[in-house]
Amino acid sequence: MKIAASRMLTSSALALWLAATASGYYHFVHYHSRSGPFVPIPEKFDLSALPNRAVPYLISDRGPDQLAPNDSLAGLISQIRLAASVWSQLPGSELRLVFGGFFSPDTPRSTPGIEILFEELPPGVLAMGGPVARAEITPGSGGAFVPIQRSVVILRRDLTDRPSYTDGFFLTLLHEMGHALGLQHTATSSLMSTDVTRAVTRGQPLTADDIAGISLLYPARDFGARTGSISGRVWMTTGEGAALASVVAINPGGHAVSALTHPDGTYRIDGLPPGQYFVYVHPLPPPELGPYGTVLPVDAAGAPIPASDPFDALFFPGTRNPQFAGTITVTAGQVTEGVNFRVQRRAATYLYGVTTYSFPGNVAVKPAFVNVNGPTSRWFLLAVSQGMALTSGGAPLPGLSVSVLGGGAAVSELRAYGPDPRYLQVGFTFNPLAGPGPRHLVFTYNNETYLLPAGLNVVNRQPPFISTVTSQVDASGNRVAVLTGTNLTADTQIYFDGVPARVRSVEEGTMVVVPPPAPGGHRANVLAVAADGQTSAFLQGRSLPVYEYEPADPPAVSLSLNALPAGAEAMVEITGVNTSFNETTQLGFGSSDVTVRRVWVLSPTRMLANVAVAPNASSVLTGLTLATGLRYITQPFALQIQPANPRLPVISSQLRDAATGLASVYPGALAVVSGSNFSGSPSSVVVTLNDQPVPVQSVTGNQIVFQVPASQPTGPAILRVQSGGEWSFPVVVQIDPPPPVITALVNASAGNTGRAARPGDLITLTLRGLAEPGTVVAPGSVKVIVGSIEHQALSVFAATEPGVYFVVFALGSNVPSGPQVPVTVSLDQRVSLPFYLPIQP
Amino acid sequence: MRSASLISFIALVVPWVASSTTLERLSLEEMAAKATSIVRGRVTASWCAARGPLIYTHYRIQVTERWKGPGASEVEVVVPGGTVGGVRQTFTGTPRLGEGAEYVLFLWTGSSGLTHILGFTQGVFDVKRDASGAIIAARAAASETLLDPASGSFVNQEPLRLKLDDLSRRIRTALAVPAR
Repeated sequence: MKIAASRMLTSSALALWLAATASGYYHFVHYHSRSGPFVPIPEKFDLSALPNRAVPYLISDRGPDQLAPNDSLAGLISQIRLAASVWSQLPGSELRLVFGGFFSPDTPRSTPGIEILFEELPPGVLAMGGPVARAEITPGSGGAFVPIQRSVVILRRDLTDRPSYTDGFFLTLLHEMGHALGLQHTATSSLMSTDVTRAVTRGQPLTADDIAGISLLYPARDFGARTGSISGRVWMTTGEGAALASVVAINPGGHAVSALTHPDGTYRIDGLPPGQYFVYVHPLPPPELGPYGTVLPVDAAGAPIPASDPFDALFFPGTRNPQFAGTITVTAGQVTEGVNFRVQRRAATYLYGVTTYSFPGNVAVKPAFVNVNGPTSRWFLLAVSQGMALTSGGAPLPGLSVSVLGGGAAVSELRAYGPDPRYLQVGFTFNPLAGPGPRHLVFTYNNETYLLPAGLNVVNRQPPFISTVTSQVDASGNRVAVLTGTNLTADTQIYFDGVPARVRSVEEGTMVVVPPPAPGGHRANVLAVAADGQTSAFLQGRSLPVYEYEPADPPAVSLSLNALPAGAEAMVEITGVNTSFNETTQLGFGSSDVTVRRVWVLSPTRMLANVAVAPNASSVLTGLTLATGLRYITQPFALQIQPANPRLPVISSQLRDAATGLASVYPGALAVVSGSNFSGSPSSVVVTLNDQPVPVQSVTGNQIVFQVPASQPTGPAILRVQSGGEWSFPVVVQIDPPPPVITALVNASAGNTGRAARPGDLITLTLRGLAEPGTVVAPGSVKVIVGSIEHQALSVFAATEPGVYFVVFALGSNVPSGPQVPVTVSLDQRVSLPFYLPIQP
Repeated sequence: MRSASLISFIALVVPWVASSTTLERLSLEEMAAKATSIVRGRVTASWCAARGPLIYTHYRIQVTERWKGPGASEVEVVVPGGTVGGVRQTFTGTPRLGEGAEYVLFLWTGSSGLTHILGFTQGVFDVKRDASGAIIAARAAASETLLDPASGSFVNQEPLRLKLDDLSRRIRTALAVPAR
């Protein structure tokens, strides 16, 4: 039965997006007081105080002491970099993690960042992660927060039995990084769930819940507009609010997103992709509520605020039976309110923490994946509960039932698993019309209901399998790796340790890839990752095939600069021997106080980088780490941080257009360079671009406006400023092509009516200068901003006139109305000048 | 269907997590073998101190019974996380011991000289009297049956709550068997 629950509810716009009932989620939460209204104050990094608004991560130069056979430090570093990139590429979040290189834990640092440490951990402990914060509440544009001073991820020094190339290590690392960024545990089988129920793989490492959790802390501009929310309250039947109850919105064929209730039982689930959801509430599992579980929210005095008693799980609108649950419609930019629950207290929770396993091959894998095109004899999983036995006397526990939420699959049999009857074997039948994806299992026993999100993942083919990996030389003399195996398809990604390899060709059972750069003689573990989340480790476990690189001379680098004062920024030219710099090359100076602002790779052996030192950095000697693919180069004593020089003109490499304020300048434009220690008059200031003086228009204490010559070539140029007789350090600035210009707008939905545009209208923009003539522009790379609301282009195509493009988009439901709403188009960092559009509500 | 006896389990599935700290499941026998000391004692004091990049909470334990390790009357145990000078370092899932409370602790002293609780939550048993007056040792975090990657076999489920005498007997039995 479906209930049109949304009709009973009210919706409101997200104007009060972080209002009094904002989501408590599962962050490290502080409250102003122990009485409502409760506004959660999370611990998080203050991106506005970080260079480039990015969180640096640094890797300790001490350890690990021991690695597993076939593992390597190069492989381990690549997994850390891969994990950082996963957290850095999320829709809805502006969080970016930047590589800081190897660091010495003894070196003083003032800028917040994440430290990856290899520490002595007792047996039985694999890894830890968490933030360090002083309980100082700071106002922010998205609401008050407690700034994280630094975070740590601790791995064991002895990694003998935890090879870095295993899925288990990678997901543990990713999970601990999540803690370091400010996330606690969730009960939705996401990455941030404990390993008991975690249902992610290297191929699909994050769920909607993880993305919502991190996006709430570090929201992108359009996060609130692209997603919707559900809010309400959970009461005990005795009248008081239920604190720290987990409320979950779950899509039958998709993932779940959750939030924890505040001490008064109010909650709000944010970050929900638009769609239909079941909503249920359940108590946190006992281990999370014990003395070793979730870090409880604290009041202003730092005293923890406890969770309420356990209660019976309940589906909205107040039923234990999911068949009678209603669905809630979630709309982008809207809060669906009034999703309330009244729950019955119970003495204890027994049914929780179910782990499921399946058998794609000869070994069991977790999470459970079942191939509907595989043999029906494998259409089953094994289940075991953390809280209670699911079997008794060699049979399923009498009274226990298991079902699938929302259809698409059905439970066909329950029995005790033959080889070990403590495991419950759950068999399935599948609706052939239902697509692949996660299925959610509902367990009921003795009036207790437990829902396991993504307890079963339906796929329609077997995991990939790599039989052989051989090194060959192609017709052009380049080294390639030839893989043979099964289920290696065009959408399969191949990883050499933690670095994706570029796929050259795929034919039946054979794949040719370009191995990423690696040290000579390096032995890389090769893993195939399918688009459906399955990996070759499902069939091959830890016994991954190994690709051995040819011997090669070791690389070396030299730097054009070896000292920089605190507060200064400078261009560093890096010249290499036996290096292979490319667009993926990252470099760090072993301190969160030294930031690499931007890199230009000029050749495999030459690159330029703008390096900035924090104004309050200590005078220390830092090292350089350069990482390309699996190859990393270290230079221990690369950069001496000096005391700040009050006479030195300091300039920033980030130029701004004087007319628009945008961070993109072009030939002929007036550019603003910011900095310090400038003398007062234009006549005493010299600005050069590539050593050629350029006209200076005005000078203030911290800004110089100068003219970029119309003849200036686009691309990198070297900027220097002389002021008061002193020259600044040179920095590299990017001269862009002129910005695109919107020359026309056609509203196909309005036709010839002449009416103002309104939400839902299909609009076509005509642009000049969006890209070089002849370039194919992917719609995904083009954004249309209407007011402050970001829209994704639906299509982008070239006009017959060279250099002219059409961009089509649909006007969103949440755009502001008015007679002159600005419309801009952006591609990469370039933003068009505004075009004004009348919009009616 | 493939013979079930051929079905074994792989490392993909092994970590045992009670918390954000990722734990590897250890049996009682493994804990007894890996511990450098096993003591029963009462927490007499606790404080926090920074050591390099980490803050530790230190617990002083007055030892009343010992199954393994050097015969000191007191032992100092550290747990990562704590607050120093208003700065809080947080790791969910690390044990928090109560002053005045009594425990059986499986301890491990590393090359740093610090003494840790082995397996964190796995190595802490609360010691309390039940309604009948019997002394009970109970582990707070729930255990689970898991799959042992080394042997490919299922791991026996550990009891969470047992009489202190029974725990003592199991420890002595485990220590009597030479570690392999």
